[in-house]
Amino acid sequence: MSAIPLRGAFGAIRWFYYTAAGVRDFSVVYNQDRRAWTLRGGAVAPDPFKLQQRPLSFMAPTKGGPPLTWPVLDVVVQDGRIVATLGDPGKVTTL
Amino acid sequence: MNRFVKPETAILQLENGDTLVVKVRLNTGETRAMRADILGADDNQSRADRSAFAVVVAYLLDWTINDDGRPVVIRDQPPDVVRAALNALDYDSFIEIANAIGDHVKRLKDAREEEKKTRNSVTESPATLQSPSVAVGVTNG
Repeated sequence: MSAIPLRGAFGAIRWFYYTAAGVRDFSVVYNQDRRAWTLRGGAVAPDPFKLQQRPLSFMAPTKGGPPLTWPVLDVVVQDGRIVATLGDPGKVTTL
Repeated sequence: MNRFVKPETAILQLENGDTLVVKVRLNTGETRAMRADILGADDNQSRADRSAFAVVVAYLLDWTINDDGRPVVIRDQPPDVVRAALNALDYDSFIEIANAIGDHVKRLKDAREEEKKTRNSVTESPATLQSPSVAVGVTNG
């Protein structure tokens, strides 16, 4: 069973202060059966080297608050689309 | 020594107690962007930088360079992957690679020039072909 997806216009997969890829028109959905979050969206300027680095995090801006963040467990870019498996939100290292 | 730049930060203290968070090192992509900002895109040096990068991307097929023991695969990868790997290197390493490939390209060019000179001198020596004094195989009877 999947929850209602969280949607946004633009987010970013980050490797510390670097942007490894922008993610346009994204959705993040929690699948209770798999107990995993899945990110899907359009890839913007993906950097293949940085996407192979760890730790990666996905950051989604919020209106007037701190960004929502998830650790990225694995990520695939294909045909201009990004699909990533995310860990639980909030447990990330930035900068 | 790892040739790839890690995203490490340093804190710099200002006189009034304020602090700055800065990158410890710039990678090749950041250094090239900074140089382009300083010099301007139309500057001859900027053009030379872009040209050197393009030459490296065009010629480079494979390498033994790794990232702390992890292979950084560029063989049979699309140019975007090669560009990303080059941009992640420290700038000194990129310059070393660009110089090595630049020297290789110059040796090829010199060899072609030498070959051209040799070919020209060979074709120049018998300047004109002599007409046979007697037509061969032709009779007037």
